[in-house]
Amino acid sequence: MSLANRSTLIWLFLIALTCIAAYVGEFSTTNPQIIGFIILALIIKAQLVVDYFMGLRHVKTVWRLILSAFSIVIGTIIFITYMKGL
Amino acid sequence: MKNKLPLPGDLAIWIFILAELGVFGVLFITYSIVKLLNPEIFAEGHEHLNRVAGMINTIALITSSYFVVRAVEAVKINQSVTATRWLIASLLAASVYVVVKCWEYSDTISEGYSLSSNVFYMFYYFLTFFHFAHVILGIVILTVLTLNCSKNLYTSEEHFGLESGASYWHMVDLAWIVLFPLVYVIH
Repeated sequence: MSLANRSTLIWLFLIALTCIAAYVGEFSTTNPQIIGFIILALIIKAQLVVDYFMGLRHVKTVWRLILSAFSIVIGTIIFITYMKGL
Repeated sequence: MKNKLPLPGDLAIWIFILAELGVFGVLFITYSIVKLLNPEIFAEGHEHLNRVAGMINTIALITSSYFVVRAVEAVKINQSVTATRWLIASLLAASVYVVVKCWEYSDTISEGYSLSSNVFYMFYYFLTFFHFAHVILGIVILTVLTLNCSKNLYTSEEHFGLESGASYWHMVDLAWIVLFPLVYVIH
């Protein structure tokens, strides 16, 4: 697959995931599974941006890990604080 | 892949990106904790948010980021004219964000909600304006990249500046990818 085709597919996937997560979020977000899905979508989107838009997929692992940790840690904290509030 | 590729762009921009993400991270965590402590105020504030505006802005930023990726790909095969067009497209998508965000602010202010209304609006304005300021800086950077690209200053061998600016712009996108569900979606 060419670079252009790959980045176009990733862009479309990011848009689709954004729309789905926003649509699902309109429903009862007192449901932990819905919150879990929204957080998972956030982490997947962030990872795709880090890997393919920022181009860190094949650079030194430490850089990729630090950038990946940003969304994973924040996403986990959002999830935990939300669950505590239920 | 055994041989790791070098970081795209300058090391200094990556240090800057990490510092910026650190600040965004602290703000996001603080927002989550304050929300946990003030559930009624945040639930009521969330009801008045313009989620459509948030959604449009998410699509605008992701699309702008994608256009920048295409510009870098075009420069890597020495297609400066194509790259310049992609960069102009990215600026247009970023402009959509600015227009929609200004509309959202004017809408919220006209409804009587300001920074001092309550703790939710204090965080809403602070977080989103902090990000908005980064978008404005990103637009300035994208404009410089576009001008440089139109002058054929980037080639397949030398495009360090373009990659540095592109990385910053993707960081702005990354921060919004977290901010959007945190502030607009989860309620």
